[in-house]
Formats: sequence, C-alpha cells, structure tokens
Amino acid sequence: MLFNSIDFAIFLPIVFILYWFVTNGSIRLQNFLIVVASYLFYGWWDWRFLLLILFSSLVDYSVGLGFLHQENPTKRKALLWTSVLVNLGLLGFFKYYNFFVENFITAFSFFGTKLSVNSLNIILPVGISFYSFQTLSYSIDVYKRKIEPTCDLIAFSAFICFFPQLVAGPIERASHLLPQFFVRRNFDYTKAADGLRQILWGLFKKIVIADNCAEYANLIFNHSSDYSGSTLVVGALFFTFQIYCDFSGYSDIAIGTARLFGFDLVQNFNFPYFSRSIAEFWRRWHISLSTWFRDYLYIPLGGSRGSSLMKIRNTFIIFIASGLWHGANWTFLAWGALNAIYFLPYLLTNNNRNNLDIVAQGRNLPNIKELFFMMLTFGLVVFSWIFFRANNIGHAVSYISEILSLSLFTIPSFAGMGKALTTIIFVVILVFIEWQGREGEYAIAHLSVKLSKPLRWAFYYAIILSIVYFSGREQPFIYFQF
Amino acid sequence: MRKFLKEIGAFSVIPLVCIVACISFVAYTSSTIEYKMDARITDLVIGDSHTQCAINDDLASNWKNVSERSESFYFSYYKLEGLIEENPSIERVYLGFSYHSLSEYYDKFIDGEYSAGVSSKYFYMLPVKEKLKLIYWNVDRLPAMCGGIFSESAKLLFVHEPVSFGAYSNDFTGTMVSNSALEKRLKFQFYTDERINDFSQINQLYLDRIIKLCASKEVELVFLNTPLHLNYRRGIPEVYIDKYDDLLSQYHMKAIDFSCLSLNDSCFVPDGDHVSRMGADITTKELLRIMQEQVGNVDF
Repeated sequence: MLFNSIDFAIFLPIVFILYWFVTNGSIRLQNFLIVVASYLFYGWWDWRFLLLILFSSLVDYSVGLGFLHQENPTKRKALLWTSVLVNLGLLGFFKYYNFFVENFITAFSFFGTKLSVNSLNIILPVGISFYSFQTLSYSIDVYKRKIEPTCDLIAFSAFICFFPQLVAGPIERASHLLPQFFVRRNFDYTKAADGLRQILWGLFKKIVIADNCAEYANLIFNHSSDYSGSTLVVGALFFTFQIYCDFSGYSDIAIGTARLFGFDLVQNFNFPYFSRSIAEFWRRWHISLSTWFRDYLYIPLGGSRGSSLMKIRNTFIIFIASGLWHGANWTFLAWGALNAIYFLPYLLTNNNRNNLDIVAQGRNLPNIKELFFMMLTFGLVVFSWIFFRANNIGHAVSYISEILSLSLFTIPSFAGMGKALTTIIFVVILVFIEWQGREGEYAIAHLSVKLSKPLRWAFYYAIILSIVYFSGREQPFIYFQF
Repeated sequence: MRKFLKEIGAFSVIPLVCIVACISFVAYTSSTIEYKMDARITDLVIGDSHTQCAINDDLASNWKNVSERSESFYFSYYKLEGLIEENPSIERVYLGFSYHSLSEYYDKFIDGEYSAGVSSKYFYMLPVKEKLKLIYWNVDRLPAMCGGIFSESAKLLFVHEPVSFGAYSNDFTGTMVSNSALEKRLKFQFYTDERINDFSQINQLYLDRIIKLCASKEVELVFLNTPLHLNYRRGIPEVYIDKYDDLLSQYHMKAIDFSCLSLNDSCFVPDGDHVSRMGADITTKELLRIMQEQVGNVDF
C-alpha cells in the first residue's frame, strides 16, 4: 500500500479509530492491532512475502530467547551468526543472487570459460533491506547486552512490521522503538497534530515536488544522448530534488503516522542539502542507515582508529556497503566509492566532526563562507547522484562526458520546459520553507509557534490545494526498490 | 482526543463546503443543458473533426452537423442520446466512421494525455455514473479537467452561451497535402513506438451502443467515411482495413464510403485525412446527391 494512495487514505483512519476507540487502551490489543494492520498493509502489495517477514521475525525472536539464559560465549556467538546468516542470506538471495551470477558469468567469459548458471526471475520483496537490518540490529544489540531480549512475540512482531516504517524506514533500533510497545500510549493532542502536519509536509514533498521532478528527470536521463550538457545538468538537478523529496517525504509521512499512534521514530533526514561538507551531509542524509552502518560495521572494523590505511579501508568498506545496500548494480557501488573519496579528506585531516551545529543558526542568511561550502557540497552531491540514477556505468560516464563538453554553455532545452517552470517554482518554495524551518525536526515543525491559527490553516489549505492541483503522475517511492 | 477530532472536523468544514458547492453546481449546470433543436431538422451528422470539416450543413436546410473534433463514440453516444430524446423529428443520423475511429489512440481523448481538454466539453452531457467514471479515469489530470469543466459551466451560466454540440467548421482554403504531415498523422493515429496500435475497445463498445440506440428509437443510422488522400489510404495498416470491413459486414449498416472519392490535392488539408473547404463542398454535394437518389427528402 502506498502512502500516497486512496487505499492508504481509507486504511489509516480505520486503523486510527480501532486503535484509540476499540482497544480500550489495552497495550496487548493495540500491539495486536498494529501487527494485523501492518500485515494487511504489506500484504496489499503481495501477501506471499508476508511469510518472509514472519520467518525473519520468528528467527530473531527465537534467537533473542536463546540469548536469555545463554552465558556460553561460543553458543552466544553461534546464535548471533544464525541471525546474521538468515537475515543476510535472505537479503542476499532476493537482492543480489542475479547480480553475482551474471557478474561471475561475465568474469569467467573473460578467461574463455562459458558458465551456464541460470539467473532466476526473482521479485525483490518490498522493504526487505529495511526490515532485515532492523531485525539484525535487535539480535546484535541483545548479543552485546545493550538490551534485554523480549518474550512478548506480539510486541516483537509489531516492532519488526510496524507499518509506518516497514517498507522504507526509518530503520529503527530495538533499543529505541521496542520499549515503546511496552508502555501505555495515551493520546497526545500536540503529538497527533504534529504528526498530521508532518504527514502533510511529506505528501507535499512526495506528490508535488518528487513526482513532478521525476517526469523531467526520467525524460532527460532516459534520452540523455539527445540532450546538451546544460540540459543534462538540469536533469541531474531534477533528480537531486526528486530523490530527496521522495525519500524524506516518505520518512516524514512515516514519522507523522507513527506519531498518530503515540510512537516516536528517529529523524531520518536533517536538511542534508544545507550541509557545508560531505561529512556533514552524511550526518544528515538517511540518518538511520548511516548510523546503522556506523554502529554495526564501521566501529567493529575499527572505525577511525588505527593507521591512515585502516581508516581508508574502513571508509571504503562502509560506503561501498552502503552503495550495495541500495541495489545490485555497479552504479550504486560507484556512487558509494565516490562518496568515500569525497569523505576521506575530511577524515584524514580530522575535519569530519566539524559543522555539528545548524548552518547560520539564529540568522536569516548564511555568510559567504557558509554559502560557498554549501554550494560546493551540493555540487558534489548532485554529481554523485548521476551515478546513482544512471542505468549503468557507461551511461553515467557518457552523461558526465556530455556535461563536460562545450554544450554545457548552451541554453537548456527539453520537451515540456514551460510546464517544468511550475515545478522549478515549487522547488524554490520548498528550499525557502526548508531553510526557514531548518532548526526544527522537519521544515514546518515550528509552524504552530510561528503562525497564528488562521494563517496556519490557510497555509495547510494552500498545501492541500497544491497537492490536488499540481500533483504529478503518480510514481512509486524510489526507496521501495531498495 | 475530543479536541483533536473537533479540530479535524472544523478544518474539514471548508473543503466539505467546497465539495458540496461543486457537486450542486455541476448538478445544476447539467440540468440546464438544452437539447431541443429546430423542429425542421431531420438529419444529424455526428462524429469527429473528419465529419466536422467535411459536411457543410448550410447546403441542406433540414440537416444539422453536430460533429466536434476528437469526439470518440463514447461521447457521441451520450450526446446523441440527449438529442434524439428531445428531438423526435430526427429521422436519420450520419455517423462518421473511418479506419482511425477503431484505433486505440482515440482512448487518449477519454482517459489519456489529451482527455483533459476534450472530456470537459462533454462532462455535463454525461449521466452521473459516467461523470464519476470520467473523473476516476482522469484522476491524474483532474486539475486540468476541472479547469475545463468550470470554464464550460461559466460560459453556460454567466455568458448564457448554450452548450455547443458541435458544428460544421472548416477554415482551410488554399491548402495542399504535405507528405510529411500525412506521415506524421498516420503515425499518430495508428502507431505507438513503431508498433501498430491495438483497437480501441471503448470505441467499439460505444459503436455497438449507438447502433442499438438508433434501432430502439427507430432512427436510421448511416456510416459515413469522409474522403481520404490516396497516400494516406496507402499508409493505413492492413489490419485496420480488415477490421473496418469486418465491422461493416457484421453490422449490415448502410454505409457511404467517400474514402476513395476522387478529389485533387487542393481539396485536402496537409494531413491528408481532412478535407479543405473546397473538399467539404464537393463531399457534401455528393452526399446530398446520393441521399436524394435514395430517399428523396433532402431540402436543398
């Protein structure tokens, strides 16, 4: 079920009413309802893949119970590896089987050996990368004794399949989300109103900005050989805003929806395009995944301790793993490696922890230096998105080659440029609102403080109208494919 | 929770009032459509731009051309239903029916990329169920469609301009066929990404309904294929010619086929499947002559 669908618009109020009015405040009933609603939400797409979630949940639940009375380090390690192998095994099979098979065949064909391994027609289960990492974090945290394993299967299942964040995150840690299933949830007006506001903002970003940008990004990327360098730059910019609004819009809707049910999810985006360095960008982009890799891969590998060589190795591992997490394609790998190259100078000069504050905090405008570094970082990010969006490495290279040609200095031109102007205006409005709201958790979080009720409502109506009036052709959320 | 629900309720009042106002507005506007025509009209010409350009109803006092560009059989059916119901004097309907009428490209005017501009013209003629269907089919283009619907109703209510059912219209004089325009036209009508289009299911369904409607109201239905340039005819995919012939033999309807009518290049517009004003006069006179011979009740 898509957040931007009529199905969800019907589903959400029904679950909301049942949750607050029928369960009579019983935590167990509310958790049970969440599990049922979440399975329905997921099964709406393809019920067969519910078995995978069920299987994954049962394995990690059992592993957790196994840890409960197990003090033998070898046996504890064996339990942890069971969880790791099952979760990564499923992920590997569904996501990477064909990629590795095809690349093995290509590699062997270089040496004149013709392998006849068949690739399979595997459907990638929606959200598998998200819930696999979530379940895995539970087993690792229990193994490390950071949290106590739970005996409540319903609460545990609700933690794994909580529908707002099941298919595209934020990837929650058991230490943050699981305890919330054990405490009484009282309806909180401020929280619920805030949730609705964040949902509205997420829908605006997804439907008005991302879906409209997608039309032009797809047009330009899919026919890149027909366009001049300047048009290709415009295409890359459209994709830059598409991917941000698509994914952060989803996260906003997820976090807002969870708030309606009394839950707090982690912030997943923190105005990443206002970053002053790549290191800062990675603290602000897809935070739940970055921190997951930091805590469960980078730090166990040694992190930023040790020799420069070790730092370089660890940085490449984490960024390439992050690239591969997005999909089985060399383009994602290249995107990850490019970001590692961007990041390394900061790490090696110990500048990776700079810019921890909010840019131009307490001021309306950034100073020249801040602006320069923001623009530079944004430019580097836009460049890296070309690899992310390209169909293959060759496509990315030819795209960049054309940008670096003399045609860069021509006037951009593509079909529907007049209509694209509306989208560009909306992007400018988005950037303005995001800049104004960059000190909050999301752009319009402080609206209730800043604006009086009539103005606030007028703003909401304007957003709703723009969603209805300027909605682009419905596009699936990009991150569903990961 | 009470405060939350109260706020949601209050916030929803304005949109709800707007929705109710829109529905009332549409219902009222629909009820004001006047289908009644001059009682002397006995023959209607209905179809898309082909018949709109080709049949000059000024040449026969008891004829009325209600063709409109890009009109599919789906819209023709509902328009015809209202016109026949309100005008018992109608004895005969000439329905523009040609090879392109069968192509799936026509669906784009009902639920595709060109529908917003076209479908809004017919919105008020449709029954409630079809109105809802049209909105559902065009949910992606709703804003553009709404704009069209409200501008139609503004004309109807504020300018007191009656709903146009279509009319003869041809401003083409001194035109010639252009092979590039002709090829472009063929490509647009019959091909998508170099593949021959499928047949339009909805147009076939409503062709069948138009036939049944005319039969039930005892109105004679005549299929009318307007002149086509030789080069255009040669470019029509074979499957479309076969399908057209199959349907003609299947329905046993009276059909007047001018697609092979010998006209010189200046009688066509560049695309080769519409006639110019000169071509329209020749076509109309030829049609009148045929009908005079067959039924003898045409008032010149």
